[in-house]
This record gives sequence, C-alpha cells and structure tokens, in this order.
Amino acid sequence: MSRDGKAASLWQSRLYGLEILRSLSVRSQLDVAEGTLYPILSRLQAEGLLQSEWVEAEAGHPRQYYRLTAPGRRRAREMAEAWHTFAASLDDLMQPILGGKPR
Amino acid sequence: LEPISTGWKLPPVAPAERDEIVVEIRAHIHDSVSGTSDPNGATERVSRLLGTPEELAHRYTTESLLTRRWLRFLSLALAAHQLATGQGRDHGNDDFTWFIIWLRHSFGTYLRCIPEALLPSTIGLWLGSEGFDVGVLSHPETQHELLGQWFVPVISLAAFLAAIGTTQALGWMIRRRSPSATYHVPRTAGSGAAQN
Repeated sequence: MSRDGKAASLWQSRLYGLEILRSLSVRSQLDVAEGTLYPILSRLQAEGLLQSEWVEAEAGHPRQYYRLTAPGRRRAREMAEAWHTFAASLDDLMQPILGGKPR
Repeated sequence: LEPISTGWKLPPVAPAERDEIVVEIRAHIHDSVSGTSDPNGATERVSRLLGTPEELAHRYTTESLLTRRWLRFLSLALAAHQLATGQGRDHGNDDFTWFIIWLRHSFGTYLRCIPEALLPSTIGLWLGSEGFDVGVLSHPETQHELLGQWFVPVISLAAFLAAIGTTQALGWMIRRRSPSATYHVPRTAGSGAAQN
C-alpha cells in the first residue's frame, strides 16, 4: 500500500522525498513515516521503477528528485487497476450496509 | 547518521550510494525544520519519524536485501512449497509439487559437479542398460561415461538453465493463481471496474 501510494504520487511529475510525503498526506491522508519512505524509494530505484537526479535547490543544499521510469509507470498502472478492482468489489459488498441497493 | 555514513550497518549498499543517502537525509531534516516557528520541536519530530540512525540503516539494509535475486528466488520457492503442501493441496496443486521436485533435482544435479573434480572416474553422465544416470557410477560393467571433461560445464549449464526455467515457471504459476489475478468483479454500468 505504501509503495503503491509513492508510485501514484509520482505519476504526474518528479518530486523529492518531502514533497512525496506532503503529497500523500494532503491528497490521500496517508501519513508515511520518513524512516520508511527513503529506504523504499531506494529499493524502487534499485528495481528500475524509479530514477533520480540531484538538483541544486535554493535552500542551499541539493535535493534528490524521483520520477517514474517506463517500467515504473507500467507497474503503477497495474497496481492502480488491481486497486480499482478491489475497491469496486468492496464497494459492492458495503453497499447494503450503507442503505443502498446492491448493484 | 554515523552508522549510515561509516557503512558498517549497510553492507549491501555501495559506498557512493551510502554518501547519497546521508546527503538526502540531511537535506530532508533541513527542509523539514526550515521555515517553522519552532525549529527545536520540528527537529525532534522529524528525528522521531526518521527513527534512530541504526533503525534507518536497518530499514535500508532490509529493503536492499529485498532486491536481491536469490532472495526473490527463495521467497518464490517458499511460496510454491506452501501452496504445494498447505491449503493449496485442496485445490489440486500437484503441479507445484512437481516444480519443487524439479527444482530440487536441478540443484542436486548441480551439486554432483563438486565431487567430479575429486573423483573424475566415478562421477559422470553414465549410459548403460538401464538408461542415463547422472552421478556416481553404479554398474561399472555395463555403464560408460559420455561427457568426459565436459561433464562439469555441461551439467552446470543444464542445471542452471533448469533452475532458472523452473523459477520463472513458479513465478508465472503463483501470479496466475494469486487471488488478485482471479478476483471476479461483476461489470456493472458506471462502475468502470476492470474484470480479469
């Protein structure tokens, strides 16, 4: 789940670590601990799903930006489809509880 | 960040990568603290979320190990073994059992190359009245060796290819049988749900 969220947050643009955390928090209320973010990013990079580049920032220190590679985008699409399927099935299951008619 | 920068906690990570990790973590701490009204509180918070350097180094080590091919292979073999011997048996997973046997046979064949160096006249690919036999000469009067000095390279390559092929087949079987691949969701108007 955590890995899926990181890949999804990088779908539109390159981001650095803190931006990924803020994106996850603002857009999906997912609070990911910093201590887990960077090791996972490192692994995704080693697997060829992400690539990174160092950019000199105005803050005075370089930042490592991550972007999805072509295999990374394929994997993100697969994960999104799997999640969509899973969420749709749960939605059907929960529908009677929420008072609606089963679809 | 001492355990990370000195590297003794991160044996699988290359030194250049370790340096980048340290720079990145330092940049993260700096970015998290800068601009806040309470720098001390922010530093304490980000330090807590990052964990101690030892914990962070341990997470990098774990993630790094997860990318190792042999570990993937091991997890595949374990998963297949579980499917073959556990709950999967109810659903008729005999093919998984065959994969495990084939894999074990591949490694067993490969291991026979080791004693061949010490006992070249006893270990080999033998052809006799009972057919082919890889390993120790059992019927000296009827069997003769086929590969000679080519035994080690040929058997090593064959066992290697068999192990790789079996691993790939295992992965394919597990993916094919995983719940996510067989999950059935009725396609309904407006839901747009993908159907496998």
